[in-house]
Amino acid sequence: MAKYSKKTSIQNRAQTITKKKVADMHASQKTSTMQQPGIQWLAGALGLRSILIAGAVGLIIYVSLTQNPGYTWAWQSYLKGNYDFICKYPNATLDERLQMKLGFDYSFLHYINQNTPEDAVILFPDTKHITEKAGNMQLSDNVVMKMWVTHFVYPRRILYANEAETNPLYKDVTHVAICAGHGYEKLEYSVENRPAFIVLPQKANY
Amino acid sequence: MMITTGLFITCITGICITLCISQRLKLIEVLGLAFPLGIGVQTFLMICLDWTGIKLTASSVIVATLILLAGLSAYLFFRRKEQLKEWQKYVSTFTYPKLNWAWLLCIALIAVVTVMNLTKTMYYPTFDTDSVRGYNLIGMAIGHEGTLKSLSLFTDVNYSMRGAASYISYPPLSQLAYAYVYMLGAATSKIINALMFLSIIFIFYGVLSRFATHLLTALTTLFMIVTPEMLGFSSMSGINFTHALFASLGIIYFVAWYYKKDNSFLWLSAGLLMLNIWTRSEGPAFAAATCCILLWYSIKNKHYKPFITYSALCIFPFIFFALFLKIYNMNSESVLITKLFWDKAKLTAILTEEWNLLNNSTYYGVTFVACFFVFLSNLWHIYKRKDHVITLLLLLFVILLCTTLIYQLQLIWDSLEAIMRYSYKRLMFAFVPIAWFYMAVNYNVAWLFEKADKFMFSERRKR
Repeated sequence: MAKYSKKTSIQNRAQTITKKKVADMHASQKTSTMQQPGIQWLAGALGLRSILIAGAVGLIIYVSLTQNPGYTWAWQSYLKGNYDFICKYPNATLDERLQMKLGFDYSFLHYINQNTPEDAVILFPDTKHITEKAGNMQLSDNVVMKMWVTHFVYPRRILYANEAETNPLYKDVTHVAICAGHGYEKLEYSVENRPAFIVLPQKANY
Repeated sequence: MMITTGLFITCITGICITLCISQRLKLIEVLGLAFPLGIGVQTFLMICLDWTGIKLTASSVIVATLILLAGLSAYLFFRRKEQLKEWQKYVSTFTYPKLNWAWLLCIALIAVVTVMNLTKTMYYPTFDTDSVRGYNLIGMAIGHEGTLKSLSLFTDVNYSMRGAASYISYPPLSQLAYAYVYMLGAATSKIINALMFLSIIFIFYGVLSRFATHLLTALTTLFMIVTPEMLGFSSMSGINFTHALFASLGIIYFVAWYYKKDNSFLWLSAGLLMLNIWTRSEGPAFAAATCCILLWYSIKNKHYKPFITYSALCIFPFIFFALFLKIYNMNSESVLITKLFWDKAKLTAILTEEWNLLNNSTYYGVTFVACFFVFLSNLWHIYKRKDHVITLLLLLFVILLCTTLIYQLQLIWDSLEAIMRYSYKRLMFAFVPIAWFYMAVNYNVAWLFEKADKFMFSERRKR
């Protein structure tokens, strides 16, 4: 009996100690979580040791960004270069921004957009003539790609003169895009003053 | 106003989907996943609407999304007790990131890079060739015509969209996402790219912080986002960055499931890999890698149900879209060689180009070189503790499968060199977050940064 009661009391004591330990653990967890954003913790966290580690991390970042040509390009040309440029022209319109990137190609296609109706079918000269230089103006290889041009003139439809025999849309042409002086021969009327880049209705009575 | 409302509905849908998949995600992960998952599901809805003959307009898409949102909300309402319990658990165990100068420095640099990149993204309308003549044009046309299946660009004889590797058979996520913002009245579609960039930062930080200290997580996230070529492409309308987000994070959440044994990560991985297939034709290679590992795991544990469900989910968008293309006769010339063959010269050329790309620090910064050295330094722990073998295996497996995919291509629309130097170079963006994840979670690096944390936060001994 005595042995049993002794065992029970040891068990009780062990249980009490375990309960106490668990309660202490919970309390310490609670205080540590609660103290985390406190001022003391903040001062400790931002102390000298933190500065030392920040120095080491800063050095890793600095060496990587300055010694590797890829990161140098990413930081100096791509991020900083573009950001400085944008800050210089923050109020540029969407058209101006596209002109900055695509140059005369966009200016010409934008002009076509403004001077033709949405259902227009526009005939471009033979692809081999499109990129020819006229004065100080020249279209790039991009204008030879039908889908590329379509992006800027959509929903208007375009085709090239060299598709005359293969494209059934050829008979529905409503406008002719004159590129580097080519395309005037596709008009059903004669033009006296002939600019190198212009869009004109194919028929005189359009 | 319309654009903000439309994108807000997308994000709320994404949040509900995320919460339906898992209640144990961190707030930063939920916020990060909101847009990619929301827009992904919304593009599925758009295809369904198009399939049923309903015109794609801002109102029809928003109404369909709101119906889905009501269903998701009802599901979440019935599970509110479980949800509440998880949130209470999250709040009670929430710890603030250990504030220190190094962490603040990394976060500040991430913020600076993000602001500068987003400014550039939003400033310029779409001008990159691939998007101008492809993704953005198709998006703009869908927005204007309200259909994908009868889009004039695909049906009009004036446009030859049925050649080899033509845009007609490209998975439609990005094109439909662009169409959605055009329907909402946007002048450009660049908001999609901006939100994707923001999302990858949030999700990557959230999932990595489960494995690494906050300082290491912030430093790794910084290096991941400044990967030069990837950063440059993130501001364009190309779909490679979006694909990299879905593919790499799908793999990373699979790794999180494997090591944390939380099933919700497995379903999140399945969801992200589904959207990876919904974004690019190379997507199945990434899903195949995780499916193989899961099959091995299922055989080992004699528990096949997760493997079957996971594989079925991953393959669903592939079958769904293939069926859509077949029904509406939207097929382009196939470029895939379906039988196995041996061509030593082709394989050598691919491997040489791939090796050159992996070593190209101008494109990928220190990513792959550092990853190789970290792997070498960790060989002992890989042998002794099998330290993150699955992460490493998945990275290698994904590279191997993508290489095989290139090998199986018929080179009828471009030369091998051009495919490797332009297409494969951009496909490799998806390897970048996985490589950085491995670099942060392996034994040696994790140990070093834990020591740094202890050094910063342990109390000084009193003499």
